[in-house]
Amino acid sequence: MNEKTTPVTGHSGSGSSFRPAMEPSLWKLSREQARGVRPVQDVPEGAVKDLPSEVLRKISLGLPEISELETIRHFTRLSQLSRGVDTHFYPLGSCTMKYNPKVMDRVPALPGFFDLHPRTDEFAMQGFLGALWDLSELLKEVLGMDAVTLAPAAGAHGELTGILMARSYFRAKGETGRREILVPDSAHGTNPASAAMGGFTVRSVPSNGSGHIDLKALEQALSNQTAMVMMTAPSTLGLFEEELGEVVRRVRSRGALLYMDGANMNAFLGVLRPGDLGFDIVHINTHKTLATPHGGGGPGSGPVGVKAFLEPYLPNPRIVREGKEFRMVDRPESIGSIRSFVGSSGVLLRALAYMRMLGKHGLRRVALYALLNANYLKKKLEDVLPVTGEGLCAHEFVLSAKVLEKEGVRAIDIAKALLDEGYYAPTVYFPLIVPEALMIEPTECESRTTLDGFARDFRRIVERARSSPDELHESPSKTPVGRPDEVRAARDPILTDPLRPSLFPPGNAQNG
Amino acid sequence: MADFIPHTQSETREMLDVLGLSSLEDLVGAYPKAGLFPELPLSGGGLTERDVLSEMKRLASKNAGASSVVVFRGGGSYEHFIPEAVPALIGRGEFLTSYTPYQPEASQGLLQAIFEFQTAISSVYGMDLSNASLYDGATAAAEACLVAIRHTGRTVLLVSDGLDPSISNVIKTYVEGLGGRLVTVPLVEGTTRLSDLEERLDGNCAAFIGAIPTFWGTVENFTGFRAALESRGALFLLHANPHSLSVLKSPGEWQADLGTGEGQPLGIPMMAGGPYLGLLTASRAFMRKIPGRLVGQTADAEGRTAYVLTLQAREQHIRREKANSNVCTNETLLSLAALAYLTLVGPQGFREAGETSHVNAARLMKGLAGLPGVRILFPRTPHFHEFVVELSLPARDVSRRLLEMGYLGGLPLEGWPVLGGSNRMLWCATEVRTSDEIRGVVSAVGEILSGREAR
Repeated sequence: MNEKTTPVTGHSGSGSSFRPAMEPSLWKLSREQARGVRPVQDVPEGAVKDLPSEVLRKISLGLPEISELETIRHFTRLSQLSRGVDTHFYPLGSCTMKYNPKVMDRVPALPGFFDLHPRTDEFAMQGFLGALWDLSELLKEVLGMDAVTLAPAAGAHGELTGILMARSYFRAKGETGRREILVPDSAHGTNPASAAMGGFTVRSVPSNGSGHIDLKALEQALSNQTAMVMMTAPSTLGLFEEELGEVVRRVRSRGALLYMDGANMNAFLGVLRPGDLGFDIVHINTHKTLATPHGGGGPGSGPVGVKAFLEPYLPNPRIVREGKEFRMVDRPESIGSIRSFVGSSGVLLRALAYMRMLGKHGLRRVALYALLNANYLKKKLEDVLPVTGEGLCAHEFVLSAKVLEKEGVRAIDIAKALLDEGYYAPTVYFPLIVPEALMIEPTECESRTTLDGFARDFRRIVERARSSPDELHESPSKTPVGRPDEVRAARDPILTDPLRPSLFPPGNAQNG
Repeated sequence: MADFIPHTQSETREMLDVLGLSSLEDLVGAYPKAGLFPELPLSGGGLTERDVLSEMKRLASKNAGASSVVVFRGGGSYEHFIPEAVPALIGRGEFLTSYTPYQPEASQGLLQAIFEFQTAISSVYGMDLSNASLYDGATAAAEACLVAIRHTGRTVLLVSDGLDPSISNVIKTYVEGLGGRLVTVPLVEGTTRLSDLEERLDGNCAAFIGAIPTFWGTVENFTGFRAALESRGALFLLHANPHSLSVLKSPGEWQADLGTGEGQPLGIPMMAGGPYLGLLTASRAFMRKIPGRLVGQTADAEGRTAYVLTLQAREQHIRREKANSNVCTNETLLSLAALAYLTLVGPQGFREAGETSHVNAARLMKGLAGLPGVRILFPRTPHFHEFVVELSLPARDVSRRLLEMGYLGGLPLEGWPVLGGSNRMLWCATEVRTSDEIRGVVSAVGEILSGREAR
């Protein structure tokens, strides 16, 4: 248990007194026998004496011992050492870091939702099942699809679901030779990873110079072994695929399916429907588009919409309506279940409430203002660094810092300098096809004042990159720490706190 | 109209002017004209904050949540005490509204919290390390099986019948792509026998997966399992309810290679099934083979302690189709909830909660066992906080009548495999149940079974 590794010492560093102090770890704060909240009043003596000794825990629990107030201060201080949309402009491309209305936090916390057991008898959870039914009906319309599953826990989970459905579909058709999934080289990493998990071979399709899929290369890659082509729309470059109609026609003509990665659905909301564009399967990241904050990495949810011919393969359980009653049923041709229970209910309920609250016009305005903000900011920055793609962008755009190569400044340096200016950073080094990429997504929720300020500061940083590049290499200097040594972190990883005492009694190092 | 868009009309106008456009609709010029602005089954103007909440309240009020019924049901989701400080802390905007901490300098607090979560969870599981979370318990178990398949190059998974059948189903879905196949190891008197494992164990087996406690509430003795599996080159996987590990021997003490679990009992509401918290712990030998985010401790150039996402070469955004998993979004906020819960209750409170669950379930079992028309399955096998009973009436009817009397009783097992049956119920009592509630539900079941209850 890391016994050989020494703790990394936490001294405050030299000459950087403006850095906020780091917080000691829980195990540093721990004081033997200190207690916080008591979950129960009295425990009878010998509570577990009826259990045989060989099944009882013998090792320490290893948990910290601190008071409730100390706990509150610890986590509050940790929160102050982090940034969120609530505190900073967060132009992280592809992640749609928009404002998620606070009223939505209230929705899953309502009695009858937060305290509802997922295996409650169906007749006693009709309000909940009805809400899920309403949401899937609504998503069918928003996505332009014939059927929707709410089960997937995230976008990548939705991808895996779609991929397993494609597998079942072709197996049922007897076309088991379709072993390949084609993915543009601009795709999110989850696309090829999901395809591989589903047992498919992945083939990458190159993009052309303007960031669109290379039709000729697609044509060459397509064969009777192609099961599916996965596209992101708008693309990860923030562009609408100009030849999408042609892509659809060619994929169809080879009998393959067309999947849309809906991570960028904020650009289509209420304006354009994936089903109408010709996609057979689409997932939507409700945590990006429909009012769930990202929570430092999750939870999310990734409902999947499909055309009617794929409906039998949707995951179990399905929510069905029989008369006025809602039920959960399993279907025999389904790919099976993909999680313990019906869905990430707390996330899904927010999506329903959000769409109802915005209404038809409000949803449209989401997409239109996401486009307005992205195009406006692009316009303000396109003479600062080169933009990939011509004309109007969708909800995001990609700049390349490659022109700063001769100054020795990279995209990461720009990102770190932005942290010092009081912003979170854009997505860097993605998509992979743009060298030194900085991907910027302002979302519909940011004001023109914020965008103007960001453009001004961004411009100044690039000017500094040209005049005094070394300064940028030393950024960030106002954050709690400077750039962490990632090589050291990965060489001999310290993944648990070395200050935690050993769990095993001395002389009994059982686990290792 | 509510849409959280800050632009004034004149700002919109000026921004369009900068772009040389005359209207917002001009922005979608690159989109195909056909299908633009579809009709949607929503009101045009939307709802106010008050109206949307009252609409959602109407839906919520039609469900028998724990605030309106007394819960004696588990089976993978449990009502536990959640300190008020837990939602207060994870509701801090800097946590709630942040993304995966790709920029470590601006995310040190979040990264440290994940690092502390990894420490706390690996401690509870008695394992060397933990990842930052997966979707839920079932997907964590399934990912562990994928690790075993990739590590051994073998495809057969021996699955104890003690594992939650709904988890086995998810494993089946997940391993299909890699050609994985499940072979069940039966239960005898509610536990898996070593001889039954050995009988099925051969050179094609990637791993055995067992449960602590079993879905049916029994507690297994895995003595000898590690050695048997190791001798055939198969991995030992244990799926454990973390609440039970305050009392029961941990995966690490059984010398498991990977330990997985559903983190919901650690300060996370039942929330109609999710979002939950997939836990995946491992011995250090599997550090570079497991899926999911990992936070490591390091230092900056001036020697300050710093935290970063590490070993990212395992992950989809770097390795694409060669990654250990496709997982990207995880359940970080719920990891923080679990960490805050474990910190607030501390080792003593955590243990007392586990002990009280066990005592309450034993009281409930004793009460029900005394009723005519009730038979406890495997009363001599140790149980943790759940157990299966067979009733003289269909369980579904009993459940319905209990709900009318204010109880969410045991889970009806009609249609379930293994110990399932139309007259069987899986009962549970956690630390939140009182003696009065236990007496109350026992007498309610007694009335129903004797046909005496008011109809």
